[in-house]
Amino acid sequence: MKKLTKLLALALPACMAFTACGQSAGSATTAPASTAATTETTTSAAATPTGEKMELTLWLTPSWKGVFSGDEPGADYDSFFIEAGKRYTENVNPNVTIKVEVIPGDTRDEKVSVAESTNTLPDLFYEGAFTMSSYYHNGSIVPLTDIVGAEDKTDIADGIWENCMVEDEIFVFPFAHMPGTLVYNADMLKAAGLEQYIAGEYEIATWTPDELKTILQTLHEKQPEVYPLSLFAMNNQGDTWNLTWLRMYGSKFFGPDGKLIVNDGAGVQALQYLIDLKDAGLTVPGPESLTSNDCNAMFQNKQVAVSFTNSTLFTNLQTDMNNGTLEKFDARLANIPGDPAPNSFTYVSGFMAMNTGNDARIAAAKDFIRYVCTDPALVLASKNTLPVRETVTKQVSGEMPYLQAYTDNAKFIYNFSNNMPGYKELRNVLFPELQAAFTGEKTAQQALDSYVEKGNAVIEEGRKVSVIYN
Amino acid sequence: MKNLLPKHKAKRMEPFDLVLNVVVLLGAILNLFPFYWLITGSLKTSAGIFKMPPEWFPSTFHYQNYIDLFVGQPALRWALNSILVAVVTTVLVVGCSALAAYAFAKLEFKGKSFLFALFIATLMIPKEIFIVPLFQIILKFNLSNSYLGMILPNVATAFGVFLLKGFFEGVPDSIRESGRLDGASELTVFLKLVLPIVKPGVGALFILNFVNVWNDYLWQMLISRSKEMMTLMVGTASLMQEINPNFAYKMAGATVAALPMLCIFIVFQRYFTKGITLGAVKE
Amino acid sequence: MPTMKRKTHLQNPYTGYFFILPQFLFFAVFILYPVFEGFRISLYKTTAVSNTFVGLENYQILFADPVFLRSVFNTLFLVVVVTACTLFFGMMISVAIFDKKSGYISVIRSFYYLPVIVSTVVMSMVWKFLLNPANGLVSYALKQSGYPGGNVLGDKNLVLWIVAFVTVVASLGQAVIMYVAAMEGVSGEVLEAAEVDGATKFQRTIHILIPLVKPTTLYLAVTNVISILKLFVIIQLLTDGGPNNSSMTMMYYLYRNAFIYDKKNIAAAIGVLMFLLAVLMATPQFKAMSGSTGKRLPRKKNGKGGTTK
Repeated sequence: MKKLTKLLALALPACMAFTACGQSAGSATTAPASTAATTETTTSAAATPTGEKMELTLWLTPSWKGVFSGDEPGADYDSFFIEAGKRYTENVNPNVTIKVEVIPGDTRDEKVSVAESTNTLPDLFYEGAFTMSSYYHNGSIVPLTDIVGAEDKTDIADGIWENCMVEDEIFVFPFAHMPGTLVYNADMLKAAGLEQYIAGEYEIATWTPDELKTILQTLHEKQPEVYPLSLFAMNNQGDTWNLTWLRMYGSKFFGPDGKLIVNDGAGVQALQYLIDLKDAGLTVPGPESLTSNDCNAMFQNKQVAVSFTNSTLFTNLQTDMNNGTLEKFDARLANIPGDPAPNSFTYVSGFMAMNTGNDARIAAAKDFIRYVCTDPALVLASKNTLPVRETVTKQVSGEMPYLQAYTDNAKFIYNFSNNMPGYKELRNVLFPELQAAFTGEKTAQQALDSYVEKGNAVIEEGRKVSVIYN
Repeated sequence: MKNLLPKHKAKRMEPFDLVLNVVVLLGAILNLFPFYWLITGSLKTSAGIFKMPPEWFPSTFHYQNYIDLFVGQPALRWALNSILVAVVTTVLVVGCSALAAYAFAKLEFKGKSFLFALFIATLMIPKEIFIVPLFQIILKFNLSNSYLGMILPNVATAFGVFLLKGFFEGVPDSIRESGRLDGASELTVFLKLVLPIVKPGVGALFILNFVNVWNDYLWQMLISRSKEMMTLMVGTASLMQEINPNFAYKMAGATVAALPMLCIFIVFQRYFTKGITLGAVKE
Repeated sequence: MPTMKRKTHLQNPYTGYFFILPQFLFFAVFILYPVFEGFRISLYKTTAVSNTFVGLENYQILFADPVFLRSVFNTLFLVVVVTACTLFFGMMISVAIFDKKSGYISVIRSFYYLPVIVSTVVMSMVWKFLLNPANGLVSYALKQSGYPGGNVLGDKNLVLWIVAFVTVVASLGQAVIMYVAAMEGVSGEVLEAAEVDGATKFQRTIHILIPLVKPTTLYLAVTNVISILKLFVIIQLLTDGGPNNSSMTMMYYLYRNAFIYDKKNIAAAIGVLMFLLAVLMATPQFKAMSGSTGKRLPRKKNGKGGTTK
């Protein structure tokens, strides 16, 4: 009898609340039914027909400031999300309000893991997909496959969707993406007589590893008071750039079975390249004790010539220079060098609905996500980083001078995380090995061997405990 | 005997003593340097901090860091949280410890020495060691991100019992006995007659515990989940993780975290010294 | 004897329990229960889907884990070095100043106590700024003076010493305050008699002061050992356990396992091992300490009983 009612409930497509809770065992059953059903239920506020008042909590790590632009008065990291919540309450569901909390990226994992054990997960999360996949694997994020319509699938590129999926289920509704690149102080390069390596203002320069070395050497000679290149390995923040450096000479990083293979010749050569730069004094000193924040701060304060950035950090930099917070200088973009071709990556970020265990809340959260990610006015905010939607890209290409360059650069993009189980811990295995390599405690080969060994153990363990594979 | 003392002071210092004092004096001055660096740094611009060779004194006072701190962060709220948590915890500790210490010092009951040994043994266990189960308890009581969650576990400290027991033992039995013979209840005797005598001990415990809780970090960091619930130490440390590239602003945060205790210490220095000494072995 | 009798007459046998009840409740809930629960959790393996009894497996994992072994070594290193340095320098400073004018004593004492009072969070942040390899003042000074290593926080042989140094600076003040108080309590007659006999200050220190302040030394040793065992802030803010885990301590590894790697059972097992370590290290000192107070107390009691009678 119980089973029968349960089946009946599942069969009712309008009852999104039930389909939404299929986090573990139920996920297989909900998937096929949902895709067909969603195109009808899309923008309606059917989720909370009871009219129960609720306040949903949304967590995000700092990404962009302002609703549509960092120039707005009072622009802050939560501006857009507060505005989106307000519009949702006003236009869609007056019973649901959204409370926004910004949490620091460094402590996200602590916060979420504590929230998991305290059953105090927020209802919504806005964050990079790759950082959150672990929480999908342990059942803290509910799949969103049922709220994605066919038009979303076509409007957003396959490569982006790939970043948001684990085994055919979508766990992040992509909103924006942020390609990661290098950034350089063109004034410094000019002063050092390196004009030939400077690309156009709205272009992304592509240097070979040897060219980069020449640039850094010349900078070091001409401007000894400036550190030529930023390099960091104090913790896992900004490790995607380090992952990309390791692919510089073509290492595939992951084997076909999803295990690490970066200790191959190409991987070792890449790490050795970085070690050599460091030993020659061409990087900041002590990368083992520096965070990406430290390096970014030094670049902004003109202490470093070539550093890392992503489209958001870069936009924030321009904003800060325009409003006088920072002294102005000519900052331009470059790829992380590669031989034969450079590698580029992008962080796809978007909204997640968390498994709070309360069906009504989950349903409301999903309805909110559906609204933010499809409302034509709101999705325009994705231009703060880069839009994932082609329709938006077309609309804003006039006002975004860098968009063309990023689009052209897309051919270099690789998928860096595989959204594998245990990715969170895998990240924590890499930086100690990089520290060992940078301090000379281990050779490049030893450090990567050790990383591969420990990392693969993590991946295996992760598969064992993932609710997706069990 | 008495006139030996001034003679002793006026006497030339022995070489050993002299060298020792020079070293100690230098060390003391060096001890001040980090604070000098912190406070001047908090008044520099971000670029000024990075300047090498260093700017020993800020060329212009850049107060903006402090404005950013109090406008951009709930720094005032952090300070109030710290005060609230430290005061309430300390009052509870003093109250519970005084009661228990009085019982151990003056009352007779079965299993007293065993219970006291049990209390004292826990002095060896920092609560951080069992932070996993401790945290689960807080979750069970649904106290995460609450003041109570920060306060209650810190009340379970044997130190106060250990400290106050010595003071209560110093109170002559006759006082308690006369009170009891007059028909006063044990609690009245404790509150009206005995407690006032051990005021110095209570004061010492208050100061020591207040400082401890004020400077607590790990536990408060785990409990405070939202920015508004952070204490000053947790909030300040969280500045280090902000992506704000202005290091001077982070130094301003550290300065603000240091100042309240610094002021309290300067004003109440004598009590601190007394408290710390009394807090140890009563000799 | 007669006092004892009267005591019992005057008192309801349960009053004592009422008096210790509030404190005992806090104890039971926040210390005793966590201790037992900690032991229990350490024998299980908990995942999102299951909770299985695994016996000592978590301990086996730990003892096969080089990072954990490193953290044990580091913790012991810090306990020994920091305690020894704190006691030595605390003693040294106090010997230098205790017989001087009170104004001088209080100034020096406050200077050394400053880092204690402003909290290790602030101290760690300041030192982090000073030691920043790219733009810290200390790194700059080292570079100017021709030190070849560059980043002291990145030197695996040096980083623990740096941590020890910062910890000693942050805990020296308490030792100074207590030693000075203890030394002021030492009878001036004894010291002066020795001085008249021609004993130098150094000899007086070795033969009179150090033995007489032994209870203080013991007390400081116990409190230092325990506080270093739980050392956390300095590690988190200064080194984050690096480079390559060479400054990982047991407490920090426990924290990482519990709240970053999400391995609560392993973390609980580390807690149990730390507990055993704490008992092992503190018991002898503790015995010596409570022995000395224990001996003193009955004497006092008897003395008082005598006078009141």
